[in-house]
Amino acid sequence: MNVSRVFLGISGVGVAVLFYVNALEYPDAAAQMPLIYSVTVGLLSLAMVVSEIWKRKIASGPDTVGEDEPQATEEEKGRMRGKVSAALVFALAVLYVPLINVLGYLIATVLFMVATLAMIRTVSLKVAAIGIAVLVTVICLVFIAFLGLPIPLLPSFV
Amino acid sequence: MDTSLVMTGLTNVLTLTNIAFVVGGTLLGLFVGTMPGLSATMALALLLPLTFTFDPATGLSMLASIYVGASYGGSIAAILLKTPGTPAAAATVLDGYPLSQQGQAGKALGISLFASFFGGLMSGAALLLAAPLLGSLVVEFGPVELFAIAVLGITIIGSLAQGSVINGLFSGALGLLISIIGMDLTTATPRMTFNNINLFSGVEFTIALIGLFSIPQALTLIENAHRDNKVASRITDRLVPRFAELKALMPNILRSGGIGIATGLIPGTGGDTASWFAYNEAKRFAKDKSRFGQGDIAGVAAPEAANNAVVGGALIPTIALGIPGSSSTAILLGALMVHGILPGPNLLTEHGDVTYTLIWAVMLSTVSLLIVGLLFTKASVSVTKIPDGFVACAIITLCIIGSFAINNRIFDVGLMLAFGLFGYWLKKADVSPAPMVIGLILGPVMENGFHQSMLIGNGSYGVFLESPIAVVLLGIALISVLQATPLFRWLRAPFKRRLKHG
Repeated sequence: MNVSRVFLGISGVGVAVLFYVNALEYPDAAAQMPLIYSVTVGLLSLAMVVSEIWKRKIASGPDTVGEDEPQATEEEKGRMRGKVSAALVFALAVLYVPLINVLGYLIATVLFMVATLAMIRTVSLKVAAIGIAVLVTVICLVFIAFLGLPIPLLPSFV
Repeated sequence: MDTSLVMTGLTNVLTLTNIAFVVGGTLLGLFVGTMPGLSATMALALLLPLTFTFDPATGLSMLASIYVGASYGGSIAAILLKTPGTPAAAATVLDGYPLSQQGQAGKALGISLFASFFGGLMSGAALLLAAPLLGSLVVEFGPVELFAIAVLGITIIGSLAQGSVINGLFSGALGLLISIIGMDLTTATPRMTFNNINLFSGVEFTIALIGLFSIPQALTLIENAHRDNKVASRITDRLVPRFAELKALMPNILRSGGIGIATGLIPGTGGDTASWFAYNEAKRFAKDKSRFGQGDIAGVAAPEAANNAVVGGALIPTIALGIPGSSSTAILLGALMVHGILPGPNLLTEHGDVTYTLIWAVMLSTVSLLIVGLLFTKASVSVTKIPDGFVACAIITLCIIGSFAINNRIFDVGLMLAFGLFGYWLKKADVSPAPMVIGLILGPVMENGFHQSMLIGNGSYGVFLESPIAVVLLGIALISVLQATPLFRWLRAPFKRRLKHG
């Protein structure tokens, strides 16, 4: 059973209910499509949950881990480590966005890249340093110099 | 076909600036395609904000060339690393990698390049001929038919998306639901805006695109970053294939190109479906089937001709009907929307100059692919040496600056990250985000069509049954949904039994 899909289906029902209840307060013309769409999403979400449960019922066979168990555990550990890294990098990205306004784009971007690469630990120092320099230069040239993006380059307190 | 518009499109493309952007875009597409884990869709989504400031012809030409370049680039990693650079190159691994193991990596890449070139040319020609023909048929369509087309588009894309039909339809319906966020244009009612002024204009389609297609890929790269990187095989032989080899492969390339165009025409199917289909057909037509999988050049030519032919094929429904055939063409349609051109049958009339520019850009990109491919295929191997961890972090940085560039709002960056996280969840749940994006595009088209139809029909749903075209389109949409249900299997069972016994 795909647990992510089950949760997606349950959340889908929640979203559909939220949209449906909100749409009941709109004038008729504005409510028509949200009502149709929310009922559709709700039904499809339910179908998704039911089909997952059904699949689980059908595929309830014997567990066959046996001799490969240590290897599977090692693989599982690696996968878990990867997932934790991905979650931490995403959290850092969320932190990085407000930091741009405080520290300026240059410092915030360098800090974000250094922090994430240090956490992933699969990139050598030399490659990381060259890569960060190239990336920041390209972004500054394209987005700030060429497109004229109004983003603070340096800290607001400088 | 309005020849003046065709010529305007051609002259728009053939400026020095555009040619430079096409060459640059092809090169970028080639590099992106070469890197396993990165897709053309992601590159297009990331670069879409850049085209805001460009002239429409330049922006579209660059995006089209990235799409074409990445379609070939995927085969480089497939042949040299045994890892397809893009999903569409998965079938190329079967014969491409054995060839590189036999010291014929150059030959495999050369065949792949020329097959991609011919496939691309075929699809460009089909696009140039078929899109206006189909467009002239649908130009007379009214709101009822447009609504039916939008319904058909979303159900077909949902039904044919990866995984189960329910998942695809769920993704499409969710896109439609999100499309209603913002101010309702007929009653000026804010819908699901939570009194946030940033949501009054609705959810920006490009923000959703960047989040849904780029962030999940970056997070997946980080997840797998601890795995050992594969070492690419070396290219020691010549890249340009011999004329006799190409001549012998031509029937295979033409057949595969045709398969690619036809597959691209069906919304929801893409290069991956086409390349497997073409590979199987090449094997079926081969005199010596045992060589397939051992390093047969026909096994490289077929999928590569097909996946490049999909580009033009997928653009036919996009241009003629305003229904994107794939997530990549959805982004190209988004690029048109960025310049104020709304999807629909008027793409070939009111905005014919820009639309024909896009069509010619596909042709020019194919020519550029051959030149860039011959010059830079060997150099592109070095791209595979960039660590995945770095690529992933760079993608996130580009996503953030790119989503900020759309409206210069931090709110959009937050929204993009939210879509990114949701896209990652969809990936884990094995639900394709493509129908969701297409739902976001078709949502307003469907709603406008629905409201106008109801006005025509004086509020009666019967208006949708008065147009024979709408009835046929809605009937097909219904069948595409029903074919996934147990009811359809139950109805089909007696026929299956009869076939078995007969």
